[in-house]
Amino acid sequence: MTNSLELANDGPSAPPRANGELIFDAPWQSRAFGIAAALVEDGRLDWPQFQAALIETVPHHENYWDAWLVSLVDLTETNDLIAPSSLVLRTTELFERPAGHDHG
Amino acid sequence: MSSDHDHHDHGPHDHGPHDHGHSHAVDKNDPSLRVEAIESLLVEAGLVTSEKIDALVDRYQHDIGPMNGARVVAKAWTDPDYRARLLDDATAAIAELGYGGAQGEKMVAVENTDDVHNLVVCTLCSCYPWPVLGLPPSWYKSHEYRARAVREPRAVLKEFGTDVADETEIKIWDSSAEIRYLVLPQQPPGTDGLGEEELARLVGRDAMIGVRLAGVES
Repeated sequence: MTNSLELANDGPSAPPRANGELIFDAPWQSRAFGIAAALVEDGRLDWPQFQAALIETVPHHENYWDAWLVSLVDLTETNDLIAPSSLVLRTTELFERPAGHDHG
Repeated sequence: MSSDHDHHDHGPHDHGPHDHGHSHAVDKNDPSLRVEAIESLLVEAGLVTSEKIDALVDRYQHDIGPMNGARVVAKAWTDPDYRARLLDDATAAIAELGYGGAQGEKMVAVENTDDVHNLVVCTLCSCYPWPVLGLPPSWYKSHEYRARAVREPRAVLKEFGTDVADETEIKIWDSSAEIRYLVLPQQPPGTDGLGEEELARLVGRDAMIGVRLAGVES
């Protein structure tokens, strides 16, 4: 049996939906969602803990998925899945990589 | 998880340092950069695979679409008065829960019983009660389903793993631009003690189209 995300229907931890479908405004949002879902499913993150983090962070963000990302960063670090220093380093590397796509 | 070293060289989300496929973020605090960094670190650590993330996004996007309809069904199972209102005027009963069509289509709920099994199809195109069921599955729009649901419904149901007793009548409901049908499936046996939220999880999209029974995994 795998763990699934019992997404709330209402309240601060409930994701934005239209006609029951999850709404993502940008690809990174669905990616951040999928990463958390995968970690929860494999038991590497605890969904109640993630939901508690959402309830805490959502009121401080304009966008629901910004709060989701903050919670994801926070919990992958506190659960020792990602070292804070390596996240900063990798983000910098990705930022500084050659653009590549516009040299034509 | 069996993949160890084979995740660096394939897939649409290969985030190596020389990956030129991505647009160059203008801001170091761009959330897309951070998400990409998280994913690449987790993949390298063998904690997730990009394929699994793809699959989960897909699954949640498509499976929770029918949640509104599932809540309607669960309420009808637990509240006899609501059930009566739903069968009498589904548009109004569904609106009670805050759901409704922007185009104002009339909703009709059809009740499965021991004697009758209902199946919804749209023979003309792909009319579908999306405010309660989300986006239609691709097979619903197929010519094959549209033709065969009417011609040989029992065979179609069997292909979905749904056996309907020979003495049970199968009624076909042809959705149109004006009327959209929602099947009210029978409550699975042994679930009387469950609350609405738990019951709603037993109600899949396919059960509300009528190709499966409630409580049966699709």
